[in-house]
Amino acid sequence: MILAALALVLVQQEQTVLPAGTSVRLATLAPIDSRSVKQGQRFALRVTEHVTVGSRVVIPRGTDAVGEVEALSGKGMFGKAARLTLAPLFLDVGGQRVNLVGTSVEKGHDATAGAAVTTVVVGAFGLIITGKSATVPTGSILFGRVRTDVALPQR
Amino acid sequence: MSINALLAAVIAAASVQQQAAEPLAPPPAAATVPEVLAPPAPKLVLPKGTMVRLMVLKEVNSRDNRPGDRFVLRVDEDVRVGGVTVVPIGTKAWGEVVGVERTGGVGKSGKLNARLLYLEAAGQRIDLEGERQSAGSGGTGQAVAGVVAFGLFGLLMKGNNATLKAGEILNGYTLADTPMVSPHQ
Repeated sequence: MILAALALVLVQQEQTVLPAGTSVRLATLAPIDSRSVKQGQRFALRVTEHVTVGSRVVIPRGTDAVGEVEALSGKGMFGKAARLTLAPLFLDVGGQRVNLVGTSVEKGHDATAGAAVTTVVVGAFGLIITGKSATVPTGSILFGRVRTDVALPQR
Repeated sequence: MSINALLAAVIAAASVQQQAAEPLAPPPAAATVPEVLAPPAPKLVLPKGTMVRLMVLKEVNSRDNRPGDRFVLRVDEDVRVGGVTVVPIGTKAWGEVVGVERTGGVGKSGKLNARLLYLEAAGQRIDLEGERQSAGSGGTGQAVAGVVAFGLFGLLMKGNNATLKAGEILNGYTLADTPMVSPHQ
């Protein structure tokens, strides 16, 4: 208990404020496909560049982060493409939660022009031509911004 | 502050706590007031900007809903402060429809603008912020194409309604620091 109190005091003494709006560059760790994800589903991200305040690295490259499928519209009829909206949510660093904002939209290709090469399904209403699904490959870059000021321990 | 002084302060604080824990010497002045004997409720503060994951419980759409309509959401993930759950899964929260653009007949897509209001935990309201603009999918071009290709079926399509579907996830953020009473008492 004394150790915990001591650690707390030390952390409070040496901290840096990460200001709201600071940009964080993130990359996806696995492909995200509009066919297999659900709205609200979370996925893993990783920080790709050090985030610094002054000369101090407050969020090191390689820090894990979490994103979310914010919106998803499925492939529509008449060759409409799927649309996938991804948003970075938060990351944890030094025991602190840092909430992030930002969105990135990925759209599949509309299929109205090249209907011959797109998926053709025989449905209840006859022929239904669907557009392409939207896929975000591994390593895709998302930008997040820090949502509110966060006090972080110095590294 | 040197480490020695710091240690001394921490040890002093710890010994004070030990003394307080010993029930040997009840405070003479307050002995007649029973409430004083009860330990003070441990206060936790739910900090401003804490994320709350919410799920829409009933569909909200640009066809049936008007500005001012309230809708109910459910907390989808425990909110914890220092390992203690202060807002459990299943807690109710409320949102409000701010703006609606009806679906047009020529394929204009509907629009729905909603915001989060508050959640109700342990008898208190905790204000939330968070906005979501949901545009209906379906552009003019596609609806027209639909009319041409499918006749009556295409006419029925119109533009799609903008919806917040039941089960959809929204994230809210607390608006202010809120003292919470620990549920473990």
